[in-house]
Amino acid sequence: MISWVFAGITLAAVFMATFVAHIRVAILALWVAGLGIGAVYLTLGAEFLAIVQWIVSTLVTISFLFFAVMFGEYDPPEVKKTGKTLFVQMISMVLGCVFAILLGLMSRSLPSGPQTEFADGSDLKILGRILSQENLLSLEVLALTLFLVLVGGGVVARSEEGDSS
Amino acid sequence: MMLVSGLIGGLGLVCMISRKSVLGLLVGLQLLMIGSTMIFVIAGLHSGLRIQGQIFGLFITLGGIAQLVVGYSLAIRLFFLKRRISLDDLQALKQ
Repeated sequence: MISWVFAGITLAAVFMATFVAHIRVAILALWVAGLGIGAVYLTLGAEFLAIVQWIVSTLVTISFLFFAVMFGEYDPPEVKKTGKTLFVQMISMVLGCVFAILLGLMSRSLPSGPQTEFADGSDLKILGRILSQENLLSLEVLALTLFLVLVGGGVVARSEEGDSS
Repeated sequence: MMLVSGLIGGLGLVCMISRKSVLGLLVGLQLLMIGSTMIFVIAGLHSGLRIQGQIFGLFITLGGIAQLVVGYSLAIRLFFLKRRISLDDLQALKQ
């Protein structure tokens, strides 16, 4: 039951992040959605992922706010509702609904109901063992990818002569 | 619960398509990442592979950070060139 409460809060925050015009409010709604989804993970027994989600959501929100201020998008833009804009929004909403309905239909083929009973009380110990023994190469590849993205992002974002013109 | 995660991902898709700025696109991308992470966690719970679902979710979350960094760097580059970060100006990066 408590999972559904957090899921409802998350869904409301996602609606707000999608449809609100202010980028600042959208970013804060994204933060609430991240916190809510972490709470859902916590109630489902995924404590490690919940903590990772909370940390990532908070840092992402801070960076979003920083960049929104830096790019001058802190104030709400003046958006004219043209026919093309409404058409794009309608098409995107139809696409989103089709995506959700397809996922809901496919989830019926899953073998059983959710297993929330844990033999040892928590998955954390098993998760750490599997991550360090069976997924060590994946972790290394991910770490290398993040490092390369960090360096590449710095290279792409560097300023050059004539940029200010 | 799977339908909820699908709705979150679908709304992320809506946000990505309908917003006009790079930051709005990145907000939608983060919503899509949240939804896809939740899909793997819920599917792992239902299928008896809880740990594997969480590991997939962890890798998706951390991969989302890499995409965010790339988006930020492109936005900064675009801001240097055009003094705004509208999606319509992204073609300026090809020059």
